[in-house]
Amino acid sequence: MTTPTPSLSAPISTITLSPQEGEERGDITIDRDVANLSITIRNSLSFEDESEQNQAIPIFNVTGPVLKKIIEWCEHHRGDPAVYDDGSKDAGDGNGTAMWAKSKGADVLGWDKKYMDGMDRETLFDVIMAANYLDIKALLDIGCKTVANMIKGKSPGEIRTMFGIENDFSAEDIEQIRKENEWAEDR
Amino acid sequence: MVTHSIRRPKTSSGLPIQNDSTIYTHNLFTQPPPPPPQQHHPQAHFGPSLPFSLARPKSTHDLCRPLPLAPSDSLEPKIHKHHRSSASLTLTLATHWPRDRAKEDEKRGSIRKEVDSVRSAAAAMVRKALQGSRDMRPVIPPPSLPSPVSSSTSSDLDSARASSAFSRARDAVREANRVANSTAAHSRTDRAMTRFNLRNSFRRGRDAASRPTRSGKTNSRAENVAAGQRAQPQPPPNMDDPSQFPQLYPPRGPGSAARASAAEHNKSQLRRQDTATSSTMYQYYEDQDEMMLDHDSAVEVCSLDGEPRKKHDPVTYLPHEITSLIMSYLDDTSLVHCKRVTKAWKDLASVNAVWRASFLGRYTRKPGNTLPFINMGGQGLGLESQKGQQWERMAKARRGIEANWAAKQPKAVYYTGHTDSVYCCQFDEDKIITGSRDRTVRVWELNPPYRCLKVLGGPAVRPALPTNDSALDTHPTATVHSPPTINGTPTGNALFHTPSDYHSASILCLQFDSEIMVTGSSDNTCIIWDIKTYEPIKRLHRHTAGVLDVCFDEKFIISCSKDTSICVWSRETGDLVKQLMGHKGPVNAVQLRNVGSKKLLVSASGDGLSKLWDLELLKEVKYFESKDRGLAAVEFSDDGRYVLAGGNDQVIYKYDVKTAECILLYKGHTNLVRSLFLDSANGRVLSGSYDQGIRVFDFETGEEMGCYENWTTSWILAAKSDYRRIVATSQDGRALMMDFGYTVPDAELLKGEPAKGLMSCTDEALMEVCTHTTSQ
Repeated sequence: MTTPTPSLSAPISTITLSPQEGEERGDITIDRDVANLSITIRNSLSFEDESEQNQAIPIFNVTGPVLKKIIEWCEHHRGDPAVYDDGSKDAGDGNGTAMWAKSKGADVLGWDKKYMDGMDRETLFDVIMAANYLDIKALLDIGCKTVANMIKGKSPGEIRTMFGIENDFSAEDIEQIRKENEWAEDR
Repeated sequence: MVTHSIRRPKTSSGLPIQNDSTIYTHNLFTQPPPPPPQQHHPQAHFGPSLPFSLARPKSTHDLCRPLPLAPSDSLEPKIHKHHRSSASLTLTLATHWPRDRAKEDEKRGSIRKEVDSVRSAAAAMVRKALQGSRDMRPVIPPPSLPSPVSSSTSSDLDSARASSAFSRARDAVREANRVANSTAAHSRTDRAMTRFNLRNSFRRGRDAASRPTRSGKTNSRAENVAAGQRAQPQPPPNMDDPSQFPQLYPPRGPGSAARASAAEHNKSQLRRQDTATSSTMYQYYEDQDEMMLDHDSAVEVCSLDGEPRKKHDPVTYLPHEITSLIMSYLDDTSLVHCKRVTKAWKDLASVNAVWRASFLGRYTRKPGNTLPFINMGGQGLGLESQKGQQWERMAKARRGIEANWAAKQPKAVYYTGHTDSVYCCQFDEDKIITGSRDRTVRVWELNPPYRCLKVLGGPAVRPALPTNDSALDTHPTATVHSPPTINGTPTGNALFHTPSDYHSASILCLQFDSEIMVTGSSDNTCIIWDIKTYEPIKRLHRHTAGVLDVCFDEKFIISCSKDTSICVWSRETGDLVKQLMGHKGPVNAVQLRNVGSKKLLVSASGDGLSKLWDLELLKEVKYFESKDRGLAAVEFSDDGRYVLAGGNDQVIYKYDVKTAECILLYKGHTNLVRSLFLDSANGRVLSGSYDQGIRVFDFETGEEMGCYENWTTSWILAAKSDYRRIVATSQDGRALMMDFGYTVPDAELLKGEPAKGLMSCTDEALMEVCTHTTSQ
């Protein structure tokens, strides 16, 4: 979108993103309030001057499909408060103990859960990394919680099976670690 | 590691291959083979009616879907003594279900019979099928296998290069057995490879005549497989026994042949297993259960998400800070499981910051469960702002303390000194303050050496040497500290201090925070004290009978009295704000809570009613009925949603504030419930009773979690607790601390900030107190 008199025009309402990884390099255009969920994009927007506002923002380290998936989440969450309160700030009870993150231990529910379940693992990891790069904390948190929920409650062997990991411990090592940490096993 | 869906491919004829023959037809590490063409060699054609299938004891049909392993996947080492019966499914059975040994034995027996009965035909058939087959290389072993190389076997390898001759292959297999027996350390690979190759060899033998060799995919690991397992005309052992293999025509029955071969595999495994060390076995099962999931058990071969699995290890694929964030959402049990996955996982799962997140996530209060204004004892969260705390050790200490609560095994510390009933107490991280009928207020150390720090009272009540020598009984086994009183001794006298104002009658109630202490007395008044100096600030006169309970927050001080009224005072000025009337009997207890934007007060009375008051409006808003017996104690839950009340009818009531209904009863006491305390951070209700007992109930369920009777010699008049201790006072003049963290190493790590004020006690501070008081 070009504007002849940049300094007087209304702020541009759509942003174009250009993924810089992978084969699909097609630019994606999204609304500004969707893009604002990403602190990285928001920051890069604030650095632009008027004349550059119509240019596509290059998004490094993120492929096209992953970027699309992220935008899907952002579009669903476009109305969310700008500052993501994960509760990790001190609630200021006066006794100094922060109310621990309300996001900690909260389950991924509803639309977010379906969104996460709809991805295969590789895409999930890519989305997590991209959310980290784009600084979309809420998405990063629910992605990490999803992976944490995959790990929770499983034995080491099951974890290895699930992720296809090879065991590099010797029998004695594992046994020793198990003994040292027996206190944490639920009865 | 690729596993295949249990959905069975169909043969070219469109008929589904029955049972689990697919296991045999698929080389798990190459593409699924073309279905066996229907042609010339009838005996080599295994067609859709393939009888081979892994035998499955009926119960394992239910194992068709991957099951979560029991969280404690502790397979008893003695598993290795039990033969893995058909298809190692019983092993899988073992990992998934409690073992039904009798049933397994029975099945094993029947399977073996079957095996014996079908050997001959199978052997002959396979032999024929393998004629002319080329030297086939072993299949790629599962990548999850570690690759110990048994050097002793490489020569076997060469020597075992078989060229299709069964017998040579068989020798190789026997060699495998022998070598595997002797190299227990590598037995894991051996077994796995042997099993794997045996099965594949069998399969390959079948298909040899009709299919191109699946060659080429060697890798060094395969080559080095211990025991010279090579070539693929590898039939299962004992191939020369013609009875070993099932008849193709006619088939004996679905599954019998596969069962047979599987049983054979297992038999050979068995032989090796018996020589393996149990710990190796343990480890083998524990860490190879994915192996078995993939290769041996027909039923477990489902990928967990039903599609070809991509191998992505989050620890290697994602940057460490993200993996740390993922792990910070895990509880401590899952974290220690992560430690055993791989070395990289262990490093990440041991990071202190991850443990901090996990610890705080588990033990801090949830949003909505705000801290009460007066915090009893400690939070058990350590020093939150301090760096370098060892969160993993703290998690372990917390668990140890929880275990002692569950085991009902605290240690007892007795505080002797008061000369009459001790009516009230409160404690924080450092000190206990008690008030007594002997008209003194005493300050004690919560922590070793558990000394008395101060005695406040008028001159008439100066402690004197005890008149008799008889010490009161203490708990026979759990007592760790019970010194004689120091009343009247020089040390004891040094602690005595007469402040500028003091109560002239029993101290019935008290409360303190980091700045003030408020006491209520039978002399009908309250005194506000400066907690740092223990000097009185103001005396509150209004009541016309003894002040039975007192509480305060940042704005109000509330006192309630035998005169049936409740007085609301300003904390700032000490002026009376309002005197609330309404109860028809002595008001025995009051408590304050901020609920949302409202300030609420709950009171309990001898008239049997518990009332809720709004302190902004200064009016009663609700009442809760008990069964018309007097209520002695009342507690508000921190979120303001529930009120607990207890009294004459020996039962504790839990009311829902909104509906005013009684929703739960905590039963157990055999006499009047004199005091109540709700530890909402830990979900415990603590009650003290005239039956001389202290009981602990689970707040949510009402279940009794502990009963401590006769730890003192008389009625329990007050009892309070935190994550680690119970502090109770008795009519026999003593205060009792029951410490559940006494035996737990690192319990000290959980200690929080010391309270500000005089009593973050060092000996120097104590000395200073003593000299200060004696100079008065």
